[in-house]
Amino acid sequence: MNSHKIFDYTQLTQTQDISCTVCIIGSGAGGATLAAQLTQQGHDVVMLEAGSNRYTKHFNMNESEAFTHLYQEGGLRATEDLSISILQGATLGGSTTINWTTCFRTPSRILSIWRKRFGLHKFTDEYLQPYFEKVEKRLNIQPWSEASANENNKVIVNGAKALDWEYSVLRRNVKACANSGYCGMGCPVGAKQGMLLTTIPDALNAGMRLYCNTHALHLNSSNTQVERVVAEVVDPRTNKATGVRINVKAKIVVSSCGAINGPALFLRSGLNNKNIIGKRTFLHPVIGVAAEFEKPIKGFYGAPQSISSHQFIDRGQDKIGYFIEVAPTHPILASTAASSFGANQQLFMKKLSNLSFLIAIHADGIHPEDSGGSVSLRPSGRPKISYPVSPLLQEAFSHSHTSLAKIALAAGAKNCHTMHVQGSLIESNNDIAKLQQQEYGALKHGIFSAHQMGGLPMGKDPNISIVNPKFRHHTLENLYVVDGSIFPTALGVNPSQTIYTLALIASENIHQHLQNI
Amino acid sequence: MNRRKFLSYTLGTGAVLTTSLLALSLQGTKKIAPKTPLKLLSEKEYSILVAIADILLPENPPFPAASQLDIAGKVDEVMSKAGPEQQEEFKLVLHLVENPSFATLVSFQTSPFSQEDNQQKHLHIENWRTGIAPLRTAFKALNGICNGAYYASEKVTKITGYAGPPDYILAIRKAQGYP
Repeated sequence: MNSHKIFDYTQLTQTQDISCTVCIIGSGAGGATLAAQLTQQGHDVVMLEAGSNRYTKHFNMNESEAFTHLYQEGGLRATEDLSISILQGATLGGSTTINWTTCFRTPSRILSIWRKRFGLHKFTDEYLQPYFEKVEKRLNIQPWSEASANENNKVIVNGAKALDWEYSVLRRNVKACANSGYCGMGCPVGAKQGMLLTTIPDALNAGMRLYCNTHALHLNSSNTQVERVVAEVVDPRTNKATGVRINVKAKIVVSSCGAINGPALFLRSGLNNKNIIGKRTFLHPVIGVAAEFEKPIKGFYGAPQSISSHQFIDRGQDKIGYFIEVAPTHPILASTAASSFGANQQLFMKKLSNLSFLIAIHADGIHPEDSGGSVSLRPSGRPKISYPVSPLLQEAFSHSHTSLAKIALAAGAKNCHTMHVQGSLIESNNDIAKLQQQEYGALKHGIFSAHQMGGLPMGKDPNISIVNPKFRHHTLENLYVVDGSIFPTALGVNPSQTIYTLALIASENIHQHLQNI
Repeated sequence: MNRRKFLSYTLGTGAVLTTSLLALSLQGTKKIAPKTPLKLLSEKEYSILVAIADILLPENPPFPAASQLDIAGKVDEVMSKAGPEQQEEFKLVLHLVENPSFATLVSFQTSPFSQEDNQQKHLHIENWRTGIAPLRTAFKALNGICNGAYYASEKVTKITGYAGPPDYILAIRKAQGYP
């Protein structure tokens, strides 16, 4: 990668004041897409990224190193009570560097909810169509092939066919994909068309200045403007601040640091005058079932996700829906999913090659009574995430456990293990009734999140939203938010393409704003 | 029972209980010397973690014990990079598991965890795993981080059937000039 305007902790040894036209905080799906557009339009952009400048060379397929260097809190991010483990990127390119490449257009029914409940009247399928197409072209988003699906994903195909359930082949943002299975550790062969290899180079080539290992601490603001972004340089070897500050003065400031760090930045900056920052945080809570097969599955190899089933995404207005995918089965990720310990856990792990990990991803925040979780601050200023598992979600968890067991058995699994504290072993359809006796909720079984959304929602009404439909803060005129935190609800699909798409629209608004200054 | 008798009974019981718990808490930790210099934990905390990790991940051929891979040392390294609140909470959990005056309230533990036999240790950890919510949280913290370090070891991953990156990917990387 062209590195002449990339700075990191080794070079950032003196506190400095810098100025620019647009300061973008975060290099993920929102920030990088925006940066590429604005720099190509001739704007002077500075990007601050808390993570390191790691790229294909560093992605050596070592799972432990990947968690340490590429994930928030070294892979240990979780809700306050540790009931939900949260996988989120913390490196150049954000979560697009470590995601499993699954891309969906924003579902029509979600756009309809956003229009009706949040006043986002412009967001229709027709309006978004050209933006979707532009993103798909730039990131080479195309359908994977069913024939290339690994055995882990074929469990969904085989089970859905046997049950006559809907399933579809996923679209992925890859080019010359080697089907390695290591997307979650950073693509080892440079095939993933994440921000790292697409829009970040686009922006750098157009003159963007990129500050890595630079963590935005707070936004200094007057009543109407952000006056300065105050950031600290972090040594990635210790994760400690070096004492060096980077102070940025910009005409426009954009928060693109994601649905947990973004609200935390706003809270540290004292911008919570309406007490809604960090509320309505959505995690797409995930539950899983490990299905054991006679034949090898080897879910650690091959594209991690290539098939999904949306059979249960719409369960009616009074229930929370979910969609079914699989997770890769690399040993560390797989081991943390097990709720047992000792010899039992080792016995489980010994079967790893023959296990398929089916997951159900729950569409939170869509039901009117589901307000998701919240982000607040720890004494150190780091984010604290709370997520009560509501009775609505408990009901959905019960239903989805049953569905995962059914699809696994229909696909030929000899048994399924749930991740309950008192785990259930399902060996036949007759055993599925056991799942009705189980308890569902926080700390009763494994729960995960790979999609973080909300916390700084977009909307027309300033009493329930942080930014307006033009992505601009309701009161601070030069502050924008462009990332998944602006989603007023979760999506019910993997969120990356929606973020890329909204960032394209945001870039037009910001460009227009700059023309008027 | 009148009020005076009730008070003297409860105060007397309380005094006995307090004295017992104090006596329990004064019992020492079975010390184990760290294999590498520690970055976050004290030697006592490291020793407690070694004892816990060997119950979570025991020697169970072909699986090695956690202590054979110095999982406690690796966890120390990981936690040295965590946030200050996480570090404090992690250390607190170690002390609570070890301290019989607290742990006996959870699991009728009358000795420091590190001094108990493996059967007792297993029972105590099981009581944390299945207990009330804060105990489950503590169990998850210990189990998750020890597993993460353990299943990072090539010696262990081979047992699971995961053979590491496939040769054809390594060949592509080599052709691209990457290690």
